[in-house]
Amino acid sequence: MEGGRNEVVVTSSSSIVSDFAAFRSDCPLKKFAQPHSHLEWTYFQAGPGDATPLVFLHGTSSTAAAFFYQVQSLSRKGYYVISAQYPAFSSPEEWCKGFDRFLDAMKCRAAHIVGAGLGGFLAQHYAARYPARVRSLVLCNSFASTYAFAARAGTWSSLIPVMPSMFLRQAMQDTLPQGGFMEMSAKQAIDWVGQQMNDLSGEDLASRLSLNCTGSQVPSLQLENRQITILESNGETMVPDELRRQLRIQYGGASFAELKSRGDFPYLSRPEEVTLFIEVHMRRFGDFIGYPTGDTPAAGYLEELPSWEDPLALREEPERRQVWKNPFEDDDLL
Amino acid sequence: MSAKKKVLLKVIILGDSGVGKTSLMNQYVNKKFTNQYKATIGADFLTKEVMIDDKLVTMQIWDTAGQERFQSLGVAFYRGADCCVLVHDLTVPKTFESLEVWRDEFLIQASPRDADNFPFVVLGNKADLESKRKVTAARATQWCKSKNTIPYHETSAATAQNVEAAFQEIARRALKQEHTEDPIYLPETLTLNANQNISNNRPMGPDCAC
Ligand SMILES: Nc1nc2c(ncn2[C@@H]2O[C@H](COP(=O)(O)OP(=O)(O)OP(=O)(O)O)[C@@H](O)[C@H]2O)c(=O)[nH]1
Ligand SMILES: [Mg+2]
Repeated sequence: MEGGRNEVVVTSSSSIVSDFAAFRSDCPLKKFAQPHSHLEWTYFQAGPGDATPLVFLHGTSSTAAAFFYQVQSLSRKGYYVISAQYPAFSSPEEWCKGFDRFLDAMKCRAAHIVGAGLGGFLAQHYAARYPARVRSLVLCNSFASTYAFAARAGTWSSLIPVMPSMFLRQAMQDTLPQGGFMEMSAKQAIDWVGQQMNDLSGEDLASRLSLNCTGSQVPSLQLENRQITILESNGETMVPDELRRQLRIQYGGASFAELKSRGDFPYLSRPEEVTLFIEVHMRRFGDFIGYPTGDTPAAGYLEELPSWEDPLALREEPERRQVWKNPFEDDDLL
Repeated sequence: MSAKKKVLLKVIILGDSGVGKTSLMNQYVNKKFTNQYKATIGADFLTKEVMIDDKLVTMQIWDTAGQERFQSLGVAFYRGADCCVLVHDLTVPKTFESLEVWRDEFLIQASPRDADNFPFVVLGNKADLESKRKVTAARATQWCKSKNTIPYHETSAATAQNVEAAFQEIARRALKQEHTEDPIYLPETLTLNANQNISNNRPMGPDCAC
């Protein structure tokens, strides 16, 4: 194997490694070869395939495995979940065409999309171009513009296509936070992501780095803001403050969830917290009720439950809307 | 240096259906009140930034459905709570009697490290309906005292009476509870140098998101 960091070891006894091994033993990695191209998507899939899926899209440095905790727990709760790993595309536009094929192949008319970092950025591009296919968005430590990254990378990004993959891999490893004060669980998540990165081809690395570092702005979305949830880790992440703020302003009426988790990979470091917010997000849509199997409420209790009308319709009503009016009303940042 | 951690307080409001949980949150966050009742479905949250003793903190307030006791959101919902608000309607004794159950339920689900000292706040709501009062302040205070002195406030989501003060107390108690639960990672090679900015100390390459 090539490259500098194969020796990255998990510095502290990490449960992620063993949890992932358990996950892999009953969830195979599947493949979809995009017709008329050499492009191949890989994905994990779990849950009832007849529902509108919740499709996860990883960030620059990760793989489909990044969301294995969510695939596991949300499918157990009755959601249809797909974690997709995209192949190398040259631009957000090309990526969108490819993702559209991927959804075709999954035989789903529409999807709820959860995107982390670059994955969230691409998901917004897709939602802008193919509005009929996107039911809702969850954006985790994401951004709506790459201009700040482009400015930082400077001429570097134009060299990406000609760089040896060994160098790209090192560069990608170096973008991961290396040290400082962080939660142990956040550190374990970083180490694990660093290891998973060894599975990426040079072509993948080049594509992701250039998608991330080439200036592009998400066109305006037709989605209503209430169909969007923004998840943000507590404290610093690799996403600069200016981009975080910009995202919140752009989707002013979205549900804004601050996590107690720290670091860039909360879905790995504090998986239950991220899963909870995704579940709360999904409950705003009529598609699922999502009682965990084997953990259904006591008999007699279900009858008491109000019927599940489309909560979006409920929220059309004035007094319901007020509750949601503007979660950032008191946000001094704005 | 990365002490740039923001203080995020997770507050959970529990109580029987109709006691005014949603109304209290709506009054506190949006300064609005409506007479119309619409049962909350599931659970949802609102965010509010507050100043506590010159410190800016973010309160994430979770409103739950009184009708859906076990929520099916599981323990993750209760985990990490910094304060639990128990609400009853002081015109309906049954809602006051339920507080014991709500409290127990919370402690079982959240399993806080130090259950005896976990901060609760009790709110006797609908204080504007004094003529219909069925639960005296003395009775409520008595119960609160028996539970390791839980603070008790009487509020009205309708008139906003005492709402601000009650949530100030909630935030204050939550802040005292809030602490880092996870051990902090310190790299072995870290040399503490006052002039060194750790995040700028990375090797060259593009800055990009993970
Ligand atoms: N007079 C008066 N009415 C109130 C007060 N607070 C709430 N109400 C009314 O009581 C009813 C129930 O209030 P909600 O806030 O929806 O109750 P809830 O606890 O959220 O109920 P669930 O969502 O079913 O758990 C509504 O009709 C409110 O207008 C109050 O302080 N005074
Ligand atoms: Mg309610």
